[in-house]
Amino acid sequence: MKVSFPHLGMLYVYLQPYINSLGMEAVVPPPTSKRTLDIGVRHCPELTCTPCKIIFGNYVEALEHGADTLIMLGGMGACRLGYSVRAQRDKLLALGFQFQAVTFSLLDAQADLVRVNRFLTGKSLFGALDSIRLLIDAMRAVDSLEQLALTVRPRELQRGETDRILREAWHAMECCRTRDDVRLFGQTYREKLAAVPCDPSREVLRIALVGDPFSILDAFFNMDIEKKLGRLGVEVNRWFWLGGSLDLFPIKDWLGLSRQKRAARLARQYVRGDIGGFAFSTVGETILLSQEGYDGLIHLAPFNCTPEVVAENVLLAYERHSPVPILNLSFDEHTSDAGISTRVEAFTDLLHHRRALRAREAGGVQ
Amino acid sequence: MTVRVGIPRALFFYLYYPLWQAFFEALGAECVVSAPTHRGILEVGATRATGENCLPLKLYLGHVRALLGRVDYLFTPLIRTLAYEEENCARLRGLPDLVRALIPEAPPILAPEIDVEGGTWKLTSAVLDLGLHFTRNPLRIRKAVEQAQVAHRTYETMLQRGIPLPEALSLLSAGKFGPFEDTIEWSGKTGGSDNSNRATFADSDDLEEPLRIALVGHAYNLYDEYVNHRLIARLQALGVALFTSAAVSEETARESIAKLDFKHYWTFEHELVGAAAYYLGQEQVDGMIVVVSFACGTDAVMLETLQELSSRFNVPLLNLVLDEHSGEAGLVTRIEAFVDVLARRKTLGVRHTAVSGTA
Repeated sequence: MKVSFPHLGMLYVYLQPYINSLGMEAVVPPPTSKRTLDIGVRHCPELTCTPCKIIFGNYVEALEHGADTLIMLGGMGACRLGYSVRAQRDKLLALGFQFQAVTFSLLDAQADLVRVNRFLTGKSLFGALDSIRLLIDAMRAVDSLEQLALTVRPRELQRGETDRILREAWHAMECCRTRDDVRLFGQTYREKLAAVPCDPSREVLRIALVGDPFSILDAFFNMDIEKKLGRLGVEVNRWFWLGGSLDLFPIKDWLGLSRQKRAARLARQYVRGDIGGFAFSTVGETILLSQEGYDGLIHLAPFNCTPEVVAENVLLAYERHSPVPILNLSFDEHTSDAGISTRVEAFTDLLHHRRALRAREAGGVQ
Repeated sequence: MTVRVGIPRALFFYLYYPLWQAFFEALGAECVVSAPTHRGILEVGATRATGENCLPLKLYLGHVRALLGRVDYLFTPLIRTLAYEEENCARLRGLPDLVRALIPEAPPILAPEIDVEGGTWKLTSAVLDLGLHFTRNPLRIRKAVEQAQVAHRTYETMLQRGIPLPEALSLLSAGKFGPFEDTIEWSGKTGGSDNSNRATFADSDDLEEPLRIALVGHAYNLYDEYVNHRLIARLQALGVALFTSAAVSEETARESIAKLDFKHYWTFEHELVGAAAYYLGQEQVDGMIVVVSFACGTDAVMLETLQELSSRFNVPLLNLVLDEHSGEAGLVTRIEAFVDVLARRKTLGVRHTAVSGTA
């Protein structure tokens, strides 16, 4: 069985060891490129969102590279991806590809992991526990490396050092076979990242990214916004981490103590219930993060994303008294790199200015 | 003093107004409907929402704004699901929240949560909660629900008998048909048989019988004359027999689509595709016009399904996208050209079959 999947941030880095450990071959689709997008644009409905098109391009390229099984993103949920996944499967079959497919919904990651695992191996969760634990360990290791990189990047003395280490790390991950390998991998590269020469005196802004997970995770789609911000001297945090959404025993969640539950309680002041997609979490997390000492928030969404546009509009009511500025950015296949750079630079300038103003005011009071 | 409930003339208004009116009036409240869309309404709506919002939502906000000061409550139902295994658009699921966020000066919002998947009890309690704003007597609420159901059935029957939707609405809201009268005979002009004001169109005049065109789209797109530039009247003036998606009952639509082995994801779109399937299969239409609004997420993918359907039946399809800038001249040119094409096809005797290659 040759298993493939679309790109979603670093998904390929940890899905590879998992699929290999099941005794199957993982076919990593070529990195998302202009060609990927063009394939999607040609075959998907014109007015659908760009992530749907990019993901479709990934499928086509994966199948061209010989995959015969696809893990497809999508599922029930009011976002269009839930519909698209069916249309995409039909379209791929109509294009003459032969494959079997299983869907995976990010909204229901835990249950769907069990389902995908059963589909691939025919075993229950406990039957393939070793592989799943390997997957979760790998996710945590990758997430923690990325998290560390986000804090190191704005402070590094030699520009590009962090990214060089990260690239090396993703290569090294391909060789991980056991949980011990993963543990060693995590430790080695965390140390390497921590050893990057830094300038401690540099003034660093803190910005959190909220919005739709695809826009946050996919560097091709969001014009590498994390690196852009990092180079502008901004420490970035994301509300969504793939590893965080995959806790097999979410005890805190059951007790109502998790961050997710707290965010949901805050969101309820503005939204009555689930809107679809991740919009409900976006609303909650935006409120939560804006109160956690960040200098600003950036809301990322695909152009014309139905749930996120609702979230953005509902948040207009919050923004009237929000303690920090929120920048809305929407992306589609026509978004230009320069346009995003300009807006991000202007936003960071504004935040620097705002911080200086605050500092002066605070000084005046003393 | 009677309580005044404001109902924006947008979105669900075209589908459920008789039902809502019967319900609120049975509880002693008065329904206030905003005026038909005009320039001012759209402008207000467009300035309130961010640019990425869809046209129907902007119109809805404009209509809400137009009701301010004239009503005690604003009725904005939260229609989450209407059938099992189906969804509603995210914007409809967040409608009351959007209204509250974008029009903070709005009066108290009545937003019963209609969630069929949530079960009967959830539905009942939502309606009960709504009724308790007006009366303390649960039996009276129950009676109002019954009357509302009858009104809704009457409305649907009227539509299926070919009475144009605006006429059906005005007849029902004026109370010309008692709510319990189920036998309606309609003698007025219907969309199909109205050829009195036929324009002189060379091609279509040569035909013995008028062209049959299916008009598929959400009721709020088809019957908002400001937004669609009087599309229906214009088509009728061209002498075509119109078959609108509003005239197909939900059951017929669902049956027709089930036969074709199609499944759509959102309730309203599923029914529209079903209506199209019905007209293409049973009514032998010569062409199909699909009206969608710009930035409508669900219409975008529904269009794809309809295009597939039209090529399967070998029937030409014209797609009209409505937005706040769409010019009247562009629309007129396109529908006239489309009618010309259809007339030519018909005189040339292009077969209406699913066989490819005849065109």
